[in-house]
Amino acid sequence: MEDKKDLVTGIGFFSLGIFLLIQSLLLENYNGVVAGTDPGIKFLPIIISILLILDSILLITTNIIKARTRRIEKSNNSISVLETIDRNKKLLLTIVILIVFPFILKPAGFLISVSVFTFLLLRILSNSRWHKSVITSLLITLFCYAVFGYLFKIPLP
Amino acid sequence: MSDFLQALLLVFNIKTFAFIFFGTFVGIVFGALPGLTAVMGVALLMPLTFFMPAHYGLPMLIAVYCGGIYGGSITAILINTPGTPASAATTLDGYPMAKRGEPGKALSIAVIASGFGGIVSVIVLTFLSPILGKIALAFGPIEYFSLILIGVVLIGFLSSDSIFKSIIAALMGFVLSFIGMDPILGLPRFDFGNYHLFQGISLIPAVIGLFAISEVFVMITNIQTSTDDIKPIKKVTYAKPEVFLRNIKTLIKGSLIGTFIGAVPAVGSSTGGWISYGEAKRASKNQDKFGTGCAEGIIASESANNAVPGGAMIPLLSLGIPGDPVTAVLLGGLIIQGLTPGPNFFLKHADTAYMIFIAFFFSNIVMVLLGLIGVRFFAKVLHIPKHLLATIVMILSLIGCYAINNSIFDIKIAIVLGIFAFLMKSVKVPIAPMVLALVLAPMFEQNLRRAMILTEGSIIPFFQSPVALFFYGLCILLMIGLRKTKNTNFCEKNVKK
Repeated sequence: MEDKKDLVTGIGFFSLGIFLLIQSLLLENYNGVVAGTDPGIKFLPIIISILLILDSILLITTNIIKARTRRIEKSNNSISVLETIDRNKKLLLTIVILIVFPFILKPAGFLISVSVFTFLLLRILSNSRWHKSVITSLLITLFCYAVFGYLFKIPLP
Repeated sequence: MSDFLQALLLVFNIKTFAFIFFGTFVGIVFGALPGLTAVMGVALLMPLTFFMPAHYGLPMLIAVYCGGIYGGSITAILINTPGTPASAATTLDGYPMAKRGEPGKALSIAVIASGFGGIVSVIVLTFLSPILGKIALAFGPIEYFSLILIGVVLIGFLSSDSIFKSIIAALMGFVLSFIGMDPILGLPRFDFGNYHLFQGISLIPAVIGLFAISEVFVMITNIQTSTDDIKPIKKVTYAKPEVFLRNIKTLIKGSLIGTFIGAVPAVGSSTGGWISYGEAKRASKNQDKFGTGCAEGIIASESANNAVPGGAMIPLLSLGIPGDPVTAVLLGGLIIQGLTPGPNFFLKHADTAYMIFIAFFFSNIVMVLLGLIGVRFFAKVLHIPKHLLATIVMILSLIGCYAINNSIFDIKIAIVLGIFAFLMKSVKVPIAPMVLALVLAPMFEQNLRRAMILTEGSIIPFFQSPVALFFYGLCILLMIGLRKTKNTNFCEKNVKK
């Protein structure tokens, strides 16, 4: 399992490296006074993308060598995609409300968006009663408003 | 002298002390709770300092840093799980001592050794950084480049079992730093036509995303973890002064090792603790007692890891180069206050520099006081429900990101980086090298390109400067030394986290 993860990591960063290299090559260098001596804006991005590609290749190859030398253990408890999603339901739901949060912050305002977000997060993460979650979320929201809005006078949305 | 007195007056007022107390308390709680770290505490409180004068905000952040490193030892001693990686070596003797029925003794040894280490590092910081700053005034781009190179190379050598993964993390920090204007000509790079990306990625939303939001995700995946094995401390018996007098050599040696390790860019507290522990064991007459709950082991580890913050401030203040992830975040805190650390810092802002030293000193004193008084309380803190903790950290992270620039885009950046960091953590790619590289990369590029403009594209002058050659040599020696330390890290495998 660990080997597989490393392989995926290596392939992922290799692809990212290729993408960055292409993007770096597409950058246009400045042709002004220091143009002859300044390595330019694409110099370091190109080097870093090449290093990222090389490092990912090394990660992939060491991983393949490791997998070959080690006896491949077939695990009987392989998990299906559905099971994985079920196991990480809380995490996925948190990510969903987190992605929505910045989009509702301005239209709904600080107090409503933060109290709703906090309430939903508490509901996702714990099995406590509804009224307990409502009170806790309101208390957290009021505390944040008091500190950021009232004490530090930050113009909250 | 007048600068020192001015700084003393700034720190000596009720409000500053209240912020130091608050910061130390928050730091200890963050350090003690597994999953929350000193760097997360500093990053979360940083947005608040934007709205405070420097003599309130900076002492508070410094206090969080000191308290956070010590706080890790509480869980290391009570449940054999270090609250922060810095206290990993403390578990080896701290937990057996607590198991023997002496948790109060173990915790008091840890806090006093931590305070001692912290104060020694402050003394070194006070005397060494102005001298280093003066020397650094003569540095040109080549010397600066070679100095930053040490940090850049070393971050690839640390933090992870796999060197390739550490290097990937460091390279990703570089990639993030490329977004926005380039540091020499101000031309746009990788902004994909987005106005917000043209401004570049701000350090604070990036750090909050990488450290705080990703850690909340980790907490959510382990939300069922029980803290039932934490027994309440019924009777507190403190360590006697003889314990420290008997181990004074270890105490001083540990403090100096920690300060030195902290001063090396990118090395960090956990390495300091391990090296000091290994050295104390090597030099001890009672080698066989190490690992069975001996005071010397706790003293070695704790004096060193709490000396690291003071050490890490040396390159930050005198050269403008952060020594570890927390100082990388603190650099953001200084910039918020309109202060740019570096060789000129002591000339332009001597009073602020002295204020930082004094705040460091008092933070350590407050940490010892709180640590000794709050032995029972901090054990109770570990019972805070994880779902509540995750919710509070998440909401503070989001509002903190917004507060800096009143920008919703910053919240989006933090969320995207939080998800990215969580994915990196799940495949065991460390995050700390990424943050350090994010801070070091613009300085690295700026000095490299400036140097190349000065040398008209030639690389020969890079090997003609004696200072640069010294730094290259030091870099090679440190690489060999750290690799050796890591390979012979006999203890690390025995620790849970």
